[in-house]
Parts: sequence; structure tokens; C-alpha cells
Amino acid sequence: MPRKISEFFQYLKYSAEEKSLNRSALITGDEKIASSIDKIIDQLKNNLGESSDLIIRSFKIESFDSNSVLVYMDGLVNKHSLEFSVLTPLMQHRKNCTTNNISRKLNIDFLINDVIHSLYCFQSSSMHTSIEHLLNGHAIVFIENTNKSIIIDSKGWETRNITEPATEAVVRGSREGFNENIQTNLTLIRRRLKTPKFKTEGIVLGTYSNTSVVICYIEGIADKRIIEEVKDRVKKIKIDAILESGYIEQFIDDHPLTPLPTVGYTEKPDALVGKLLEGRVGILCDGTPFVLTVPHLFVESIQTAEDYYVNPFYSSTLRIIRLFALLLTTSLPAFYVAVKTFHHEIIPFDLYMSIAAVREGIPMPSFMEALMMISIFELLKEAGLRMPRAIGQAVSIVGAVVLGQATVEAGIATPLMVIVISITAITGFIVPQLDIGILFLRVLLLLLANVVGFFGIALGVVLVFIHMCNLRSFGINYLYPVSPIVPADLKDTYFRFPFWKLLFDDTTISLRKND
Amino acid sequence: MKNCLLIIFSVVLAVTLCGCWDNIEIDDVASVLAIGVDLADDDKMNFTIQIVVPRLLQQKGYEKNATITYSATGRTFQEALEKIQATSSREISVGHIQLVVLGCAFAKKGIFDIVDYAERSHEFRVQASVVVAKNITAKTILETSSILEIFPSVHIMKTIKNKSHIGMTRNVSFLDMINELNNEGRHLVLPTIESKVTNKPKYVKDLRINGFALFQNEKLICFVTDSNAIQGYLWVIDDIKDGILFVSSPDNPEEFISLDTLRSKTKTDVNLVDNEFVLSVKVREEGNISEQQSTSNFTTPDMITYLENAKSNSIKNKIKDIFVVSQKVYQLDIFGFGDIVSKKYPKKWKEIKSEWDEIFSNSPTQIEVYSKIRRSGQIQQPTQTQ
Repeated sequence: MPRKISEFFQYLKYSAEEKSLNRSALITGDEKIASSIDKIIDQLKNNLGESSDLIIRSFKIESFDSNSVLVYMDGLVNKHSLEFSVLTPLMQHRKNCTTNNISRKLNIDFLINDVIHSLYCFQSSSMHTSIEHLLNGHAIVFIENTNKSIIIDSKGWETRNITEPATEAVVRGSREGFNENIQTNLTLIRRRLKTPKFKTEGIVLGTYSNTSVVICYIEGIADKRIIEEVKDRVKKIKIDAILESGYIEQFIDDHPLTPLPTVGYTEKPDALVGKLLEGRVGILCDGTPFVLTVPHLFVESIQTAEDYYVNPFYSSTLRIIRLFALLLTTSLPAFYVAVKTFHHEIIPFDLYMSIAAVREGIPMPSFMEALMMISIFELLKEAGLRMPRAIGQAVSIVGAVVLGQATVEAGIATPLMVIVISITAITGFIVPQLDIGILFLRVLLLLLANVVGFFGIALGVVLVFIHMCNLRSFGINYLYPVSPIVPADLKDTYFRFPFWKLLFDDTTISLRKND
Repeated sequence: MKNCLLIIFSVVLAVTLCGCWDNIEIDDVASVLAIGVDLADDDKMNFTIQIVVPRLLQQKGYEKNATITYSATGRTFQEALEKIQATSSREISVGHIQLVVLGCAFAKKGIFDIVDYAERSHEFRVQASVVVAKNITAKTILETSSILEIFPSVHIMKTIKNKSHIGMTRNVSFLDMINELNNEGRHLVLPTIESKVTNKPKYVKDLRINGFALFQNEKLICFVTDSNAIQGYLWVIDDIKDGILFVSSPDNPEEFISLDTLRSKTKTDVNLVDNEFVLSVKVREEGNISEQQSTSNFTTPDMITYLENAKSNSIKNKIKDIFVVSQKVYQLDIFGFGDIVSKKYPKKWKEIKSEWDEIFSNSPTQIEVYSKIRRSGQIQQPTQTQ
């Protein structure tokens, strides 16, 4: 059985490798650019077919008397700038030219240097390169009898505005969130890090999608070995398309089989910059507002960017509350079931009597009762998430009535169990990054508690801790700095010390400690 | 990978196959609230247990007591419990026991028969209060019903605690009882409960918690009902939490002044002087004036001194009373002076252990009481007609 499973994973690995195609092979005929305009158009149509968004605009550069075409993908370019900085100068060149006594011989360099006003343009003689840039939103000018093309950067398309991120709301702090445009996202980071030490490195991933991915870090703070490791892992990714940073996360994850996240994500530029300053490496991916951060440690689940914007007492208290919430949300149902089925003696007398009173006539064992309520809650949560917003209210009403009232009135669950599951659910929202891990742990502990009571809970917690001690995120222990214990770094884990105690040189997860 | 999976499999199998042997839902348990033990014929014991009826807990307004009592006779505790179990639909659990009532005849015969079971069982709640039934059987006590509380035994237990709080009796938990039984230098003292009415008591209010039962080792010897002696005992064992003392006014002996106690600390010690043990009791006590019947002002320094002296004399007399009872009448060391000797003079203790009670009853005592009056309440001078 174990061998079968490992073979299955091997199979998945190899089949993925086989499927990945060589990206350059997708563009056929890596020939030189033809000399006649008709041939050039044929070459383009060979590769792109009769694409409806491919726009070919023929014109004539009067001064050289040469036929030309401007090619671009509709919707990917800024038409306005293309008109005024490319088409207009090229077509009106005749008038300016007659006054100067310049030779009438066609010269691409002359056009780039003196005629075209675009911020960024260059020439190429390869059809392959031209098409690649065409698909990236560049405009291409082909001129008869030159065998060359001018590639002009005129990217311009609709993007979402910079809005407040939906997943990480803050009371105090920047309300800017990343959007789907990687350029905008880089700008948002740059605006907060005006230092030459901030480095970025671009990689293009995905055979079909050609998604831009940018690895960024602060030189001198981030550990060089981690940077190399990240680059190495990201470059090894072979996949047809990257639609979201989650794809990358699953490829570079140290432990793909654990429910605990070893790669972090954020939607807030200020949070990302904070993490970069702590020595982490960020991975931006075009098309998604979620930026990955590695290494990701367990303590980060209970930290928020806002912790650093408020008084340290306040943020330390909040962190303790989050830790307590984590404890409650994982173990409260298990604790309740264990107490109710094994350890009646530890319940205070009056509480015991009220439990006995409400428990009378409930048909299901406590374990089934808890499992049922947890399942109902998870279903409601999922339904609320997937529902079209207009009918979302119906779900919450049904949920409240079903969970809160009907189960109790029908005598299926006790009111106390409803309270327990409600507390579990509410506290579960406090540490959203661990969501699925928590659900697994909650059910595991519940199962163990039902079988052997407190002993089972202890066993489960020990197992989970052993598992967590075994996890690494890019070479860093998942429980760092608690295990292995690094007293200096404990200043910013479960408590946050004031800034004058957190010297920037050795704050937090200064990964340089590993040098 | 292979090892890891094997471990996971074995854990899963171990967890799921071993079953839920100790797993019991609350609605399958009959919770015992109180146990009463009486002596039956042929040296057997008659056990009465009071069990919660959870169904009755759901009633609005708690018209009836949510309890039921079962009785069974057996040579051992376990045997009787099993007999009761045979008639009960639910598993009997002693995890939430609140009260243990020992019948007078049973206590006279010796109480060891039930102590061992309770000590051995991991379920038995040793915080349960223990009380001795004086002129009625434990069964009758457990069959009374309560108007104030939904559980009669909780009513009794809370009454004992209240009375002990105001310094009228002592609350002894099962654990205290075991400790005192195990202590060589101390004899057990338990509170007693008796019937106020001549016919069978119907309600808990027909019962009275009053006085102490003195034990010699595990056997009941006698009852102490004198309230001064009772308070004296509580002063010596430092178990006074709150209490009222009355002293008469210096102007008119018919007018009284109530003085309450806020804090008190008693130190008991034994000193070997000229081969003779001297038992010393030092009480430090402070409190307030809580009530006065006369109209004179008691907040002057002279009057305060008078009150303090009167108060310490009153305490001293009470302590003397209980020493008379324990030393002269019954010759029992109920205070634990023997325990102090065993710690302070361990070698000597080994020699005199067997005749300690006799030595105790002939030892001189040294009683010192330091009283203080701290405040006079919200007023200094009482209201008076002009």
C-alpha cells in the first residue's frame, strides 16, 4: 500500500514533466522576417490565424516611399499613445524631412532615434521575438524591404483600481491593496521602499500563459541562500499556465502533504514590505493580488501588519487573544466531548446539573452531535461563500435558524453544543490563514477525545507538535523561534516588544542568523 | 514514507479498535448526590443513596425535588451499590457526591467500612461534606425534601457550610476526615445533624445541624452540644471565619454589644518544660463593633480597651470550655496537639505515642487571646432620644 501511494506520486511527477512543452516550439517558423509586406502578413497569419483581435494597419512612410504595417492586438495597447507617438510621426515624416537634406535611404535606426516618440522601442529581425512581444501588448511596425521590425512598448489595458483588500481588513493602516497588474503591484512596493537595495528579478512561467513572475527581496537583509533557493525552485516550475500565485505556492511548497501553510500570502503592500524587511522573499505573480512570501513560519499566523502600527501592549494582548482563539477553535469541541463522555467529575456541580438537564432525551452521542454541528457549519460557510451575493442573506437566515434554534427545539442538539460550536466557529475566523489546518486538527482531536478522552486530546496535540517540529519552510524550522528557541527573536512572536527593544538589526525572523 | 504510513495506520487502528471502554454519556449516568449509611441487622450496613432525576430538572419552577432515594443492604459498600445498580436503568456514578451521612449506630461501630471504598475509587468526590446523624437514621435524613433547593442534600451541605461560616459548626470534607483518621495525634470531630421534630421529619427545615460528634479513632464516642465549647473548638483549630461575640455593656449588664470577627489567626504549640508538655494556644483576632443596645459611646479609647478585654475573655472562656470537655471529660486530643509533638519531638513521640491521650489530658494549658477592635461601623455614637 505505501509503495503504491509513492508510485502514484512518482507517476504524477513524471506525467507532469512530459506534458510540459517547450515554449518556443509553440511559435512556428522561426524564420527571418520576410521583405515584402504580403509575405510578412502571411507569416503573421500562419502563427496567429484569423484572430479577430489582431489588427493590421497598412500605411506608407512618405519620405522613404516604403509600404509599412502597424500590427497590434486590440485591447492590449494604448491606442491613443500609439496614434500620436508612432503613426502620426511616421506618416507625417515627409514634411519635416524635405527641409533637411538627409539621404532618402531607409534607415531603421534613424526612425527609432528621430521619428518615433515612444518611451521604449527597439528593433528585431526575428519573427519569433516580434510575435512574442505582440502578444505581450507591444505594437510592431514592419517596413517593406528591411527584414526587420520595430517593437514599440505601448501596453495599455483595463485594470482594476487599487482598492481596500477584502481578505485583510484593518482598522488602522494603509488601505491600499494589490491588484491584478504586476506593474502596479511593483509600484506599490517601490513607493514604500525607496532604496537601491530593493531588488527584483523577473521570470516568465507557463508554456501557454507566459505569466510574468517577479521575485523580490531586499539585498543585505534576505538570506542569500534562501534567495537562490527560491529562484531555483521557481525556475524549475514546468506548467502550461499560471493563473494565480497559488499555482506557484504548490510547486515551491516544502511539504505539499501537510495541511499547514509553509508559504504565506498577503494582499497588502505594507504587510509585504514589512515581511521583506524581516528578510523574507516575495513572489509576485501577474494576474492576482496575492503575493507570496517565503519562508512562512507558524508565528506569522497570529501576526498582522496592524500589530506594528499600534501600542505594543495592545498588539501583544491581541496576539495572546489570537493564540487563545487558536487553542479554542481547535480543541473546544474535543474538550467538551471528552468532559461530557469521560470526565464528568471535573465539571462544576451546577454546570453538571444543567448539562444533565439539557442532555436528557438527546438521541445522538455527544461525538455525533458535535460532528453534525461542525459539518453543518462548514456547509453553511461554503454555501455563504459560493452563493451569488443577492441570495446570500437567505443562507445566513437559514443558517442561524437551523444552527441556533431548530436543532435545539427539535431535540437533536443541546443548546450547550450550539454555544460550543459557535465559539469554535467565531474563533476560527480569527486566524484565517490556518483555516483548513484548523479544521483537520479540530476533527482529529474530536475523534481522539471521543475514543480516549483527555488522553486522546493530549496524544493528538503531541502528534501535531511533533509534525510541526518536523516542518521546514525554505530551511527555517516552522516553529522558529520557539523551537529551536532563540530568545532574541522571541521579542516579536507571541508578544511584540516596543520598537526601542526591537532593534532593526536583529529584529524578528532575522534570517541572517543562519549565516 | 513507508514507515511513516505504517505508524499512521497502527495509530489509527489502535485508536479505532480499542473502543470507547470508559465512554459514558451524561444521560446514561445516575449521579449520586448523597450517601447515607446505617447499621442494619446481622452486622450488615444499610446504604441509602440520593440520585438526581435529570428529567425533573427541566420542569419550570422546580415544584418537586429532582431526586429519588434508593436503599439496599449489604455487607460491603460495593455489594449494596451493586444491589441498587440492579434496579437502576442508569449507571450509578459517585463523581458528584455532595454529602455523606453516617448513622449514629454505624458510627459507634466504626466508620472504616466505607472509608476504604471511597479512598480507592477514582471517581468518588472527596470534597463531599461528612455529617453524623444523631437521633434519626441517615435514611430518614436523605428522604426529607427541600423547599428552598432542588436537591435536598445540597440544601443540607450548604447549611453546614453556612453554619461553619458563622462559627457554629465545622465543615469536614471526606478528604479532611481521611486525613484526621490517618493522623495519630488527632481525633476526628464531625458535625452532627438531628431532627427538630418528634415525628418523622418531612423537610430539611425540620432538621438541625448542631454540635459535634467526637470520635476515638474510627469509633463515635460522644456528642458535644454546648455552643461555647463548639466555638472554643473552632477557635483552637483556627477555623473561625466570621462570627459574632456578645459582651455585656459596662453600664448595664442587661444591654449587650455584638462584636464581629473579621480576621483571626490561632497558633497552637506544644513545649516540653520540665518533662511536661505545655499546650499553648495563641489567638490573634480583630473585628468591628457591629451592634450595641446601650446608648453610651464605645469609641473612646477606654471603652475600646474594655471591649477588647471583654472580647478576649469571652474567647478565652470558650476555649477553656472545650479544653474541659476534651481533657477532663473524654480525655481525647481532638485538636491535633499530638501531631505537633510528633513533628517537634519525634523521638519522644515514639515513646509516648500509645499513652498520648492520657498525657494530653493531664498537660497544663496556656491560653492567650489578643483582640482588637478596628472600626465601629458607619457611625461612632448611636442614635439616641434627646
